[in-house]
Amino acid sequence: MKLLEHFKQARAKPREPFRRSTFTVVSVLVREYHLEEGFVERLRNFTLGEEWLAAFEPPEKRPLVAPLFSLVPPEEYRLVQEIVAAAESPYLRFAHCPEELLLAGPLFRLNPDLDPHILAGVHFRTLVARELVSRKITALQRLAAGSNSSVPGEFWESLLDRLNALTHREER
Amino acid sequence: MLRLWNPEINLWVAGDWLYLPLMFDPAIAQELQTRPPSHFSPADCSGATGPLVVEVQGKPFVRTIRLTSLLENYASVDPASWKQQHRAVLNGVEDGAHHLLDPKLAVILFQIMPYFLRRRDSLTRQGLEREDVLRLLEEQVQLPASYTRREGHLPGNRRLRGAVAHLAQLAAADPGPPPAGLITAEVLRKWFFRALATRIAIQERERLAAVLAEQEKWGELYRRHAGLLTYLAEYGTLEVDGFGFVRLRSQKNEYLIYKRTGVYALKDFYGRPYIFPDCRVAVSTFGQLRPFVIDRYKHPFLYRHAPGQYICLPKDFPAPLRFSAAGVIQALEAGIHTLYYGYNPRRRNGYHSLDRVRQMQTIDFDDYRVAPDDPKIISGEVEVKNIFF
Repeated sequence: MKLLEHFKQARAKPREPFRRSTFTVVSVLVREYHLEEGFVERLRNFTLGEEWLAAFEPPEKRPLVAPLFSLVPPEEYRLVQEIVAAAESPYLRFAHCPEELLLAGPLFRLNPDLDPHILAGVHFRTLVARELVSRKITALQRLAAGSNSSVPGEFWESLLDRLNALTHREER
Repeated sequence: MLRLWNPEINLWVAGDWLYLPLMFDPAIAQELQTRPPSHFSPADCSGATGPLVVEVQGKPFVRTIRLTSLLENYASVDPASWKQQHRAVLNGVEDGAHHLLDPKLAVILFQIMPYFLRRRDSLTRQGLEREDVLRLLEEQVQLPASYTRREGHLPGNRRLRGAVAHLAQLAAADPGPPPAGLITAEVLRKWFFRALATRIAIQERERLAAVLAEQEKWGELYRRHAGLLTYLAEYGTLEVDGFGFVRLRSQKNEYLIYKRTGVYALKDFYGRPYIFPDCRVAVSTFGQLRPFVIDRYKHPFLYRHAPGQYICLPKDFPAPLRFSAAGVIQALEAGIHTLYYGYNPRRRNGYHSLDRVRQMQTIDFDDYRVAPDDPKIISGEVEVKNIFF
């Protein structure tokens, strides 16, 4: 009887869609964009500024055509492993371009609870921008509350609304 | 295959084994780490199998396929390339020489058919020679007039002998064993195609030699019966004494060989007879030799009432995997015996029972049931097969 219930439960559970492993995604990006050792250095030294936020336009996330699994030569394998180690982010498997490889680490540190659907459908730069703008507004609100003045952040709020709309479109 | 011949790839060849550069993913890397370093020594490659992974000049190579196996199966692995090689080897050689009679058709006519033919002249069961079979068929088969007047001619053997001798020369140019050690794919490619050409030459020489031997042995006989043989080669179908064959439309030179059961009767649990109509039990020369019914038919040992159903045979019946005269005879007999004697009325075995034991029965045989004193049964015109007690 227990076995039967187990089967029923297993069948009732919605199946998760197949997602390619981090190794597969990164190795495909390495081959497609001809990434080399220099990219690992760039990844290690990557810092996320905020100056780009003012003129931010959400980029489109292009679909990644990748095989179900990937096998690579030893040199490429070492490079892929170095990129995975340097990025230190579980979001790497949702990256579709080298820029997203760079942003996967900072995005994970900003918000480690993002939904896979959002990560698969929204460009990481958009998500990073949303997190940064959201923090900026919170900081401005705190500042305004301390000085008892109105919040001078209409631009940021409208940007956040746009970014939230983009993100929630994927959530739906 | 194109990737294997990529000149940029380095390969490791040890004995008959081909080692390719090992590609990595995390699971493979982890598995390699768990293996002791002694497992990667290329010195161990001298054995029959050799290590799975060897490390040569700091690079890992993984064991893949045997070169002899690749040579043997190259026609299936890369048909286009194989055809090209085949054409190159046969360039200028007699390649239109074919058997006087399709080899499978010859087996059917001269080995299988005599087993099922009824003798009229005497009760002794002596073996029929090819001449006897052909004469018997000519007596029983009414050929169209255009075939009876046909005169056979024997193709000249001189060109064929020349072709066999030429191919024997090509076959003698053996490239030797594969180059060993760390080599480029280009080196292997050159050796492989030389070996392939030799192999094709050997095969073609054997084929043409068989054609030549057949022409020399049976040519005169086939010439005398050219009308019948041309008819069979063109139409590919014949039926004599309830035994027959039909050439398959989907496969070249493949046949359905069948034997008719004739009308027979079976008894049910209560001893009531059921008369079953005639049916053709067949096996195909293509694939496993499993008997099936050609016509739409129902029987306790058939699951549905439909054509083309495989007959449910005893578990211990080993359906022959390859075409042979003995295999076909065995399979046809097994199929017919199952229809005749497989159903035990006391056990009601099979997919269905003759008498209704359930209200909802998918197949019933009520329309086959006749009275116990039916004239056909009483007179013995229709034999009741399943009387075991």
